[in-house]
Amino acid sequence: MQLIVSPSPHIREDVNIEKIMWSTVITLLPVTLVAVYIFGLTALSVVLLSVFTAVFTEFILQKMSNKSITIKDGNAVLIGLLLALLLPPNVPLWIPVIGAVISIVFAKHAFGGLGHTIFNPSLVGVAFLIISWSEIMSPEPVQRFGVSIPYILNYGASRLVDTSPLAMVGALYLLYKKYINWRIPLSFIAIVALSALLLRINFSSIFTGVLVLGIFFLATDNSTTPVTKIGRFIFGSCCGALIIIYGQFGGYFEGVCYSILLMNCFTALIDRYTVPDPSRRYMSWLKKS
Amino acid sequence: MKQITVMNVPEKVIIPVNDPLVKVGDMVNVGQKIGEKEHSSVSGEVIEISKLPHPSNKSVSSVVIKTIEDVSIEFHQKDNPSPNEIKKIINEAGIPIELSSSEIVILNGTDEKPYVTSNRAQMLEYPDKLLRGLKILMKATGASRGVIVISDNDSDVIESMKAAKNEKGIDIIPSKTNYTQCAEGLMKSAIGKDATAIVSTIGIAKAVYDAVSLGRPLIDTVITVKGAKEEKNVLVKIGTPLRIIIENCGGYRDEPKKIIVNGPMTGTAQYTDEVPITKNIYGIFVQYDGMIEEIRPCIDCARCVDVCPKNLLPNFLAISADNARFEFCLKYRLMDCIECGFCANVCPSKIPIVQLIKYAKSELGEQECN
Repeated sequence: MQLIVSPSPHIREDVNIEKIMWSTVITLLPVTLVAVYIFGLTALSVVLLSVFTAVFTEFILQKMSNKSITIKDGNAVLIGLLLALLLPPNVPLWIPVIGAVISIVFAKHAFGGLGHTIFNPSLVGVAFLIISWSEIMSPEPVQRFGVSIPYILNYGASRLVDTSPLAMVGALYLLYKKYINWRIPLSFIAIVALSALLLRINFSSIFTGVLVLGIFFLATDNSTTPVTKIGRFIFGSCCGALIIIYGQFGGYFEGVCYSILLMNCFTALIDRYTVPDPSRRYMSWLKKS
Repeated sequence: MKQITVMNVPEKVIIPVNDPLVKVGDMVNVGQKIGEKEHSSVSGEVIEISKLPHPSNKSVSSVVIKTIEDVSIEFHQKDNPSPNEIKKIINEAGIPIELSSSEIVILNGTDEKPYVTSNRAQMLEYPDKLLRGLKILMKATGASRGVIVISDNDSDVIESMKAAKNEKGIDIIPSKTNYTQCAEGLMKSAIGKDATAIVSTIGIAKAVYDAVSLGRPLIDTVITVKGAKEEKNVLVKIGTPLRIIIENCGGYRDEPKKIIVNGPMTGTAQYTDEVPITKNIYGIFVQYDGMIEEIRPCIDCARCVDVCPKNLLPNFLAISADNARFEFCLKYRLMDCIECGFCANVCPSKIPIVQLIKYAKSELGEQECN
């Protein structure tokens, strides 16, 4: 009888990286399908090219550096999909390719791969594209033929993700399964909604697909956000405040990208100054709620 | 429904004893002293005294007794003993508890979730004996208050304990299922905020009742068996090898891959099924194929931070320990960790966080000694 001897615990919750990544990808599929429905095959080609390039780049990099190939864990697919959703539908097809390569090579693997990224890889790719080809990345919105329904169907969208904020309702499932943490989205939404009320901004101009994507999928990216409980509240609130500031003086799309990237810089700092003290009770109320 | 099955007397028992009082060939009776704090759990002949495997994964000097016949003997109890006499009886009976004078006695009735049910079974089976055991412990330590902590999921247990309770000074506190067996320190600080407290397990309260009221030393214990063909709570003699217990529960389902004593969260995996049951074992778990998982890098998902009952940052502790940066471990309050295993349980990357924390603690302990 050959017995395995290993450290405790001997049972573990049925959750792993693959599950988290692939469920996130699946929750993003409805909005992708809506985008393809509205924009047609151009949107589909942008999504497929971006995802394929991300996966292929990761495969080549890991092959070259003799590491184990981890393209099956879904992280590269997720990065490529998030990048594609942030692009306008009529971009030249080399745009998603370059964006995906930048995301995977410079934002993910240059920092050490999964779990070691400092900046959200998809946002780094998007920021690179905005800076380099700003006129391609911010096209004039074209009103397509069709009846728009607020928050559900937007025929005047200028980016894939803007077509339907409500199609990302699957994020609630991710919250329920604790695949993404509720602290960042809650503080994020609270600050944005509060500011919108105080500054009398029209809700429909703020709560676009980009913002919903930012709140639930970009700002909750695990390795680029703080781990302490209070730190995550700070991170979410600061992102919300920055988006309003960006939005007031620029565009909300750039606001989402740059505010989250900017807050990514502060992640380590926030973690350092919010280390919880186990002997003090004043922080324990956070756990119970 | 009967909660506890009494197991037949095994053909042999292995009892770890440091300095045996018996020699090979001696005949011993049930309850006879064979070591300073150890008693024989069967009547039979001593056939071997040597170093044998122990559940702590070490080899320990042990006495092997071959059962000759199943005899029952009368035990004699002392009437109305004083606190000091109780302490002496408890010590003589080989019950593993430190009795210092304190204001509160806490009886930990929570089971290590999710699979252990031995405490629950005992509380349903003989609540009155446990309450009298608690009374005796309170008398011995001079405590004015006794507390029984029961998981709030077990409402039937809370009901039956409340029905059995008839004295003042004993409270039954439902607890959130967060507390684990290993979290005794946590329970102490939660209940005895400003008072001194001692924590006793359910099994010890039963043993104290047996020892003081019946004069019977600690020779058997209730354990939960999972992963054998039948899954139940059984009353087994101390020293019964795991193999005999599992055979008694219908045997293995398949070729076993892992045998664990105590709870699946904090228990120890075994090298062999010939190790005996010792006094503080409360469960046996057998695992089969398909339960081994690959370790991936930490993705800072902070699931461990959310479940930590001590409000620590297990991910930082594990990474610091992995990189041998023990000064960072101390900064992140390594010593406050109670090793409950929640963090490793929820980790999507399957990182052995508890093992890394234990490693850091032992390394730091050695540094202090030098």
